[in-house]
This record gives sequence, C-alpha cells and structure tokens, in this order.
Amino acid sequence: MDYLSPLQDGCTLAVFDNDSLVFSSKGRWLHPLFELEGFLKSYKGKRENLSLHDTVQGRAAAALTLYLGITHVNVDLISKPALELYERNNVVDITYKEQIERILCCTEDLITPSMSINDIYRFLRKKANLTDGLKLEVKNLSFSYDDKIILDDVSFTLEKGDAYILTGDNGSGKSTLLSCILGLLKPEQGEILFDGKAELHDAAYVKQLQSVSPFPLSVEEVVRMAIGKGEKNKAEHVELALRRTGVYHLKDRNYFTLSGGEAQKVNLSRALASKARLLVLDEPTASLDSTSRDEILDLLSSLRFSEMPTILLVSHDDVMNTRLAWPQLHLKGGHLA
Amino acid sequence: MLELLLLPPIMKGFVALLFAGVSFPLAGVMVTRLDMLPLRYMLMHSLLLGGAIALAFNFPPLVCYILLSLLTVLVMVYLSGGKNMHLGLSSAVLMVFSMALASVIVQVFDVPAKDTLELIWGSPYTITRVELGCFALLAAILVFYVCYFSREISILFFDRDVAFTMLKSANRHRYVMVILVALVVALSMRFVGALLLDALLILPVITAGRFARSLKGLFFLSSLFGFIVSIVGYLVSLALDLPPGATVALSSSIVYLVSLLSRKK
Repeated sequence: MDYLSPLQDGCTLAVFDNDSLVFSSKGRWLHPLFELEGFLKSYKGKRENLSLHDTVQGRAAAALTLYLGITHVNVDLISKPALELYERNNVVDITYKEQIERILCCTEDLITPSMSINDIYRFLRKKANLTDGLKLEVKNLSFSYDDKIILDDVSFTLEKGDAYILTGDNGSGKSTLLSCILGLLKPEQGEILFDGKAELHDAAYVKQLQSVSPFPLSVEEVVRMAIGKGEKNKAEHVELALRRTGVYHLKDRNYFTLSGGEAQKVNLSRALASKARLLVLDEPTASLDSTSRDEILDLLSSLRFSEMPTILLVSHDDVMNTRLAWPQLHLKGGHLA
Repeated sequence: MLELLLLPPIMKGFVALLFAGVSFPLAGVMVTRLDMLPLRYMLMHSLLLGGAIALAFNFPPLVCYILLSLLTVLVMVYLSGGKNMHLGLSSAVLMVFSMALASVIVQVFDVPAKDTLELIWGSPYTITRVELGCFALLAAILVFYVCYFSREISILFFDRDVAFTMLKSANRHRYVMVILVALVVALSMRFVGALLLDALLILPVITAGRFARSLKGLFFLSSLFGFIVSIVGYLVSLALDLPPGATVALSSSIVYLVSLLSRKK
C-alpha cells in the first residue's frame, strides 16, 4: 500500500514514509492536518520521504500541506484554488482524482491569494481555535495623573493569538496603558477583560531592562519561578524553556550578572515556561546590541507560529517594528490614532 | 567551659542563640532584598521604647518588644500607604517619636542607667523558658516560610512589577515578610540588643552574598554563617568572660572581613 492507493477504514488522511504508513486520521476539516503537525514534531524520519493522501483539499488544506513541508501529495477531490496554490509553490509533486471549482468551506473565500503560507497558517490556527492566546479587550479606558489626562477613552481588542505593536512618543501613555493592563494601576474609567474576565490571568510581563542592584538569583530560579507549584517535571520545563531561547548554558549563572541580551532571553524563557497566554513586552530590545536584538526578534517571530500567545509589544524601535511587520496601535495624546 | 555551659541560664541562652543564628539571617535576606533597612532601623529604635516601657512598669520585656514591633509595623504600613510601601519617610517619623518617648519614660520613671544599657547590649543569660519557646517557634516559622514559599519569595525578590502580574498574593507576602522581620528584630533585642542587631540579621547575609549565586544558596549560606558566628561568639564570651552580644557581633564582623579577602563570585 502506498499514498496513491485508496484510503480505507474511514481514514480521511494518511501519511507514508516511502511505502510504510506512519500516520492516519479519521478527523474532519483541517484537524487531521493539525494532528499531523503535532505528529511531525516528534517524527524522526526525513520529511522529504513523506507522502500524503488526503480526501478533500481546498486552499486552506493545500496551504497547511505546504507549511508542513510535504512534497508528495495525492488528493481525491481538489479545488481549483488549491491546485493553483500548489502550482504557484511548485515544490510539490501533486496528483488528484477529481478537480472541482471550489469546495463548500468558508476558508476557501477567506483566504486571499495575497496571503503568504505563514499568514494562512496563522489564520487557520486561529480559526481552529488552536492558539494559546487569550482575548484582550480594552474598553473606554481613561487614566489621569493629578489633572493631566494620560489615557482618554482608549478602546481596542486583541483576538486570541493576535500580535500587536504599541507605538507612541514619550509621554503618550504607553507605559500607563501597560500598567493598567497588568493591574499595576487602577484605571479611572473603563474596563479591561481577559477572555471576558476582569481579572488578569495567564500573563507574562517582560520589562525593559533596568539597572538593578545585584542579588544572588540564578537563571534557573528566574525561569523556575514561572512554573506553578503543582506542575510536575519542573526541571524539564526549565530546561526546555532555556534551550528554546538558547541560554541553557547560563542556567547556573546569577541573572543579575548577565548581559542585556542574555537577560532578555532568560525573561522570554520565563514567559515560555509560564505558558503565558498573554505576553506583554515593554521595549524588550531597548539598549541591546544589534545581534541580541535580532535574536530576540527571531524568538518573537517563532512564538507567533508555535504557541501563538496574544502579544502586546511596546516598541520605539523602527527597525524592529519593520522587521516584525505586526499590526500597530499608535497612541497619541492619550488617544489611539 | 563545659561546666559553665551546663548551667541552665547559660544553656538556655546558648540554645536560643543557635535558633536565632540559624533562622534570623533568613529574615535578613528579606531585609536586604526588599529594601527594609529603614524599617529595621526604625524598629530598633521603637523597641528601645518597648524596653523603656518594660523597665518602667516592670513588664516582661519580650512581650513589650513583640507588641511594640507589631504596632509599629501596622502604623508604618498605614503611614506609607499600603501597596507602594515607601518605608523611608514613615520610618523616620516613627523613629524620632519613639526615641523621644523612650527618653521621657526613662527620665520620668527613674529607670536605672545600668538597666537601660541592657537594651543596647542585650542579655541572653536572662532568657526564660517561655522566651526560649518563642525563639524556637519563630525559627520554625521562618524556616517553614522560606522553604514552602520559595517560589513566591523568589518572584518578589526578582522584580516588584513582575511579581504583581505573576502573584495575586504579592502584597500579602510582603506584609508577612515585614511582620516576620518585625518579630525577628523584637527577639534579637533580647540577645544582642539594639546596637548589635545587625550582627545576626544583616552581616551573615552580606557575607553569604559574596559567595552565593542563587537565592537558595544565599538562604543556606546566610543560615550557615549565622550558626557559626553564634556558636563561636557565645563560646568566646564564656571563655573570656565578655558580653555575648558583643562577641557574637565581633565574630560576625570578623567573618565578614575575612570574606572580603576572598574573591567575590
């Protein structure tokens, strides 16, 4: 049996390594492909040896298949937009039984030709409710110090898995807005909801680096503190989080003796270890050299395609904002411009 | 010296000092990291008022110390406005007030000058069984708190803003630590007195800070240094017939000075 043979036993998707079946699913819609993504994370074989047999593919399924890097594909029923997508990315050896104009699925229309494969992937993860992020709603938020209005009726919503950059000049109210979101300041008016609840939960805060008095606190302790008391295998979680940001070798060092770039990577490890669903970053690359900044940027970009937490990033750094190319919220005079 | 140690007052003092030596530096770590130096300075002065009251009205000194320290902490937290805990200004006000009142009480009630000196130098030989029990209880509470709430403590020590986003009970833990420090200062007064309080509270922590690279290490080494200087100080006081408060403080200072010779980690 190989990937060109008919699917059996109600299978909707099967994957073969050469002629051996390595993965199959009876799921519907795009779920078998997301299941396959999970399977591939621990799959030791070579990706280029894999071939896939799917029952139906529209544009969304084709984009996911491309995202997963599978190059031999056989589809029973394929839509014209899906075939066009494969042809545009002519790295896939595609065969099919029947072609139709379009499949009856809303994603077929919601995905536009201008979207990149990565964009489509993120869009579909959100659609499938497979993001780790939470919904952040800021409604009619106002705040003033003495008589000076800092925030005036600010409202915006970040959907699950959204990533936004908050920009604005000094004194425009960015830090005040963050402090209100994080519960460090109480707004005079308005409300902030996290997945519909008023209480902040599942959030991680990465601050701008500041000079702090040295104190013995190891890197491992900084990351470990993010893991809840009841969690098992803490050492494993700490190791994973530190390896993810490439600073595992620093685990026994004193956090307060690290360079700026190293400290921010440890802070991101802390956020990863906490499995935060809302990540709030206040100028995380300020005062870092260009190499460290690039490394932090790569980490943030990769987060958007893995855990997909909701991210709110305050940044003055034009290079960073351009490279991330995330949508922006601009604060000016206490209003969102 | 062994015969001396077997005498009940001396043995009680020795045991109490061991409890204090091991556990009080744990509170010292909180003092140094959470910027509670003004608080402890103010507590020292307000406890002189507690001592003056105890002497003037013949009350048990430890009870007066504990009540005064808790009352002072409550007033300070109220004056400093809760969450922000700017301790500096409110502690200055309370320090001046308590010293002035202590001075008035000593004068009005004719407290003998020799007795007031005890407030400054401490007197471990006069510790009662109940006081010894208090030392043991506080030592156990401190060790339990530091071990069981190590995560919460490390979060609070890491960064105040991050702590408030990670920990719903951040403020509660800050208050618990302030109260623990207040109790430690109160009990320390019975040993080393107001002037030498830092011998058990701060110096072991500063010494440990030169070697520790982690919070766990800092707590452990602070306790270890506290234990060593307590034993050495007490034994030296017995051997040379010197006041134990002074010899404990001297041991603590010498250990710190010796640590300066080593390279900081």
